[in-house]
Amino acid sequence: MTLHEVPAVNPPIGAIFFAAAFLGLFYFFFTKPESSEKSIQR
Amino acid sequence: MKELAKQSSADMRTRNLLASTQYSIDIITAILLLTGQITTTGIFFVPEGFYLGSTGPILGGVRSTGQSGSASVILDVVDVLAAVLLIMNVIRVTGPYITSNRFFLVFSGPLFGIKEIVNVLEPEKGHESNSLGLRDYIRDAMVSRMTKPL
Repeated sequence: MTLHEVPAVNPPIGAIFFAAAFLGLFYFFFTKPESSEKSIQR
Repeated sequence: MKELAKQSSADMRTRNLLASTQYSIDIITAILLLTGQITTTGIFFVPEGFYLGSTGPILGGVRSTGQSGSASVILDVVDVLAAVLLIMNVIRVTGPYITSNRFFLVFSGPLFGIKEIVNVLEPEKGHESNSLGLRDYIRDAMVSRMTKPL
């Protein structure tokens, strides 16, 4: 296998759907932009 | 013949250069993910799968963090997994998503359901005779359709 070849991976569509739903919900509900308060010196 | 061999060798060198450049983009993205300079910040849905987007201060964006401790851990796990998959070449950087003052590096692969992944052209795919063959095939098909109507 050369470095630029993409290995043949063929996951079931259900697994892809589950992963997409999980990540989408996770990013939407459970993450936020990191505040810059830490870098402000007072 | 010698000219052809020389040209083919030059083509191969160019292709190797392009392929290694593309692979180094994957590796640099993985390093940025592992060092925490960028974090995965979102997901792009398409009919057959999804793409992950990542940004950070180095790309003009803002890092993401979890709303709770466990969410931060999950986010870190996703980042590390994405970096490992990038190094293993299972997923690849497919391009940038550019918006105001920042851009996102977007990556995906067959593991995320995206089969047609961006790649440097294989020699035979860009070969002139192949494209000529395709042109001939289309022309023949059109001519036969026109001369023998259904």
